[in-house]
Amino acid sequence: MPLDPRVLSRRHFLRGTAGSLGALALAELATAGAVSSGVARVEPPRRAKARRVIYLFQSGGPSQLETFDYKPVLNARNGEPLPDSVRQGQRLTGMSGNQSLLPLAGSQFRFAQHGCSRQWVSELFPRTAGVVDELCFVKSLHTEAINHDPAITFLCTGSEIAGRPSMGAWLSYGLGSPNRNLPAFVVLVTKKGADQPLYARLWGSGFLPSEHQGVQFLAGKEPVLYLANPDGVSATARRRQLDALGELAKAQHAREGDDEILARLAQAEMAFRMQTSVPEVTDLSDEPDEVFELYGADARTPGTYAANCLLARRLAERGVRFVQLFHPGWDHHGDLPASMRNLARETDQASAALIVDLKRRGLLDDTLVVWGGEFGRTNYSQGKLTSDNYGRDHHPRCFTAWLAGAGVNAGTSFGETDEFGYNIARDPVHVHDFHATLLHLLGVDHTALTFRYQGRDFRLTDVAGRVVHELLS
Amino acid sequence: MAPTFPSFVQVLGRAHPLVLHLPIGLFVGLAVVEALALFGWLTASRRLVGVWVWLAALSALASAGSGWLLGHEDGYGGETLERHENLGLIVAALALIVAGLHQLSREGTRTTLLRLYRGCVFATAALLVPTGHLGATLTHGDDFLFEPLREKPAPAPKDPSAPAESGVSTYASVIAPLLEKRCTSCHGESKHKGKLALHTREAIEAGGESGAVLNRAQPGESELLVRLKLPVDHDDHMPPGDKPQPSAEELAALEAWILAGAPFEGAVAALPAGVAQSEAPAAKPAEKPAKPAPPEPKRPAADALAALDAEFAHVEMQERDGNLLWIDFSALATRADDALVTELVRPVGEFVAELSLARSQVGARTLELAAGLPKLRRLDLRGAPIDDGALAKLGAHPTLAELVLAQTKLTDASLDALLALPKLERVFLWKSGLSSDAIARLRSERPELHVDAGDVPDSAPADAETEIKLSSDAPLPGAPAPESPAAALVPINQKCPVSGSPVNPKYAVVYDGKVIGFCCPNCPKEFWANPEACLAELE
Repeated sequence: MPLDPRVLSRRHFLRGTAGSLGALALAELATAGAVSSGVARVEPPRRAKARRVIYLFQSGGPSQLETFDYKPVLNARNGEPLPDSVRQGQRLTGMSGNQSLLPLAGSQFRFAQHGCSRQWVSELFPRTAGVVDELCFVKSLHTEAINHDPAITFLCTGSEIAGRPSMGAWLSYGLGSPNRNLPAFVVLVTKKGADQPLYARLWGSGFLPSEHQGVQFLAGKEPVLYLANPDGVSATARRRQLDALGELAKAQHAREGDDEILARLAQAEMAFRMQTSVPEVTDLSDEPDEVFELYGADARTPGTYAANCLLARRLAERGVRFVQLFHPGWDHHGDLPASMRNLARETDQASAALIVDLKRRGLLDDTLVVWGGEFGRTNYSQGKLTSDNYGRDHHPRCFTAWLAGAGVNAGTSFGETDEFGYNIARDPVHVHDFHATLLHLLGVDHTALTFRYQGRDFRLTDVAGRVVHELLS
Repeated sequence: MAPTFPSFVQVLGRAHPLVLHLPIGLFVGLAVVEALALFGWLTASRRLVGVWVWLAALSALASAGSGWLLGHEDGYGGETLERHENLGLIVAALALIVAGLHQLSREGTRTTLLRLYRGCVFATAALLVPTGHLGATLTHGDDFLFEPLREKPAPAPKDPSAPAESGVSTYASVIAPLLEKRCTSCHGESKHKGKLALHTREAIEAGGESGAVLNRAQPGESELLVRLKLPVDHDDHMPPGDKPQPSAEELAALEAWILAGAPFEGAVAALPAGVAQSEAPAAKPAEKPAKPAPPEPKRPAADALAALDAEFAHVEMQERDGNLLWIDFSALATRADDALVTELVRPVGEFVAELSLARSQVGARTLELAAGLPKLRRLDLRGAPIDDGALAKLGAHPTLAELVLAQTKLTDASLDALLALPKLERVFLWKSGLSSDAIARLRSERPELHVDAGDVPDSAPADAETEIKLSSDAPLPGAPAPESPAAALVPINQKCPVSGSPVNPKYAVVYDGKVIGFCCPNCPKEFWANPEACLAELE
């Protein structure tokens, strides 16, 4: 590797990295003339089924047993202690590990089979039940972490240790964005009191160039902070300022040859374009009433999950590569029945509406929608089990998520837990496998999308990951 | 086998190719001087010759020592090395004897000792010829010296009656010469870099340091092929970047042979014509016209792509090594009108497989252009002001399979335009302006067509759980009532023949004069896969 900074440009380096994936001819052409975008532009090695992702992250660890993993045995044996033959001596969290009794807790909510695919859904999710033929349930997800912080960091970045690039950052880096007026990766967090914190590193860029980090759109007058011109600065003045800045930056680049200078300029130009595009996309006033009926009345209140689902659809329509919603509040150690009811009410209708809305617009064909949390919950009650109340502790050994849209086997269920809903009985899907499959759907080989940092190649799936082809249509 | 030496010792070993030239030069010079002195043409100073002799002897020792170190590094072995080593040792021993004899014979003249000394000098110089030759063979490969003199084998005379390739071993005739040309100088009889040799069948089967080079289970994953196909600047690429690379034809031949299971006997039919076989006369098929290599797929023009990029239209290659494009105008939707879209898309028209014009301002002129795009498979016009006149411009597009017309300005008059598209597989008509009657007619006339009209699914449970031990309170508001069915067709059945769920009259198809109802728009697909069996199940 030459050491002359004029030769060692980042673009040069990125090409070298991406070269192992092959065809870059188009990428080179496509960026000709444009200011640096710092995107590896790895052309899909195979045809991508999905062009974009909407990830409905249910933070806190929603119970699989009150949602989609139907376990009648738990109802039949409600109150009996968790058999040792099921637990097999596995360690528990500190929160329930010192309980004298681990009473099995059946779901308080009725399950029914829905759709042509006859899949079991709890009564808490009537609207989701209505689109069940579009969903592909994965009931055998498992993770390595037992607490929120490492588990959610693991799911979002592929590592329990903070600091790695997030899923969306990898996709932004690897594929760029179809719409250069908006960020490739947008994050929408439900505005509500959160039991577990959601921090920017979950959508951070880690060691990737910082332009790939997720941009959080906030509810309220200023969706992106500091985007609007300050008082006294007109749009014309801003434009002239950027033009002058551009001249200076190009002169500096000609002298020093560091592509970071152009990347910085590209960011400033992107912000300028976002001054127009962000207000346009976040303004829901052009949506007809029936859309608000579909997503639910909440959708009229900015910052709710329903409003964010609607916004996610608008962003997807405009080509944003990765939209990640975070809805906190699923950490139900106690008072689970009442809390589940609330959370289901907040999310069920809008999640289902998003599927319906994407589908009728022809967008579900190439949009992947994911619903899921960072781990599951125990089949026994944390705290006292009464006739109408119980809680569930963290459970990393199995949890359920659903996928819908581009390239997934709609109307199916993959993987099985044992009849107690404690261990995985068939076809486990590790978080790394899940990431590998997600990248695969976007046409990216998870072993090939790498970034060299501190002397070694990093990737979203670290050194593991299997594409779960059984999930794919 | 190889002892690991500290790195500075390795450097000494690698100095062998440098050091070895000293004893060669010194002994040849010494032999000339002694020959001249023998015939009395020169009176040599014994003192000077003494220095010379010792220089020669010590350099011979150094050569032998460094050679021994080098020979124990990875990548060397075989019979040639062994012979070179033996001769080298003899030379070093002789050199010491020469030095000793010279020391003894220094005082007298024409004594027996002096004669013996001179004989040893001549013998050493003579022995250096085969020793050096064997050494050169190790580094430059067999026959390096005389290769330019060798006549190229004449191509075999064409003989139309010669039997076809049957019986000819592709390995022997094509692959072995190819390996010999490109690989065996480092991975052959005399040198086994990475403990790999490719000069015999057994050696190939044995593999090297990284394991087997042939993968019979997944031939495409064979190390031999994978390494060759890596980018040239990749660390693992073979042959190394600075060595001559195999031609595309040679690579194709090797690939065909490996993919055929790498047989050492018999012919491989799929071998590309005109490859390497010209170098193996015996295998040259008679009268077989050389097929030209498949041409590189044509690529869209760079300036046309740059123009799209400058306007922020997104262009993506659909897949690697292909030339079909997805063009997405979402970033410039609000200003993408007929003039702009036609100007940008026309120059790359032959490559467009997918065109996304959602929320754009396009109309008839763009659809006229689309009608002429030969590879177009998916056209997204969601939210664009498309009317009946514009849609009609698509005519009978020969490849268009997916068409998004949600939120357009059509009327029932467009039904004919949709029916005219022969390859249409999926169409999205939510809020397109087509009435539910027209959509029902489209469904029944083109039952294999997937029509999405934005129907809100019915969420009534098929089978509710009958009994639950614990009851829940506060049931949630029920699902919305399904829209009133628009179709006037009355199905003959109550239960969906595919799923067994209750029939929704909205989803009915006409088959064999019967109206058959389904529970959802997905089930008719399975019905059409085997209508008779499904019907039999109904009756």
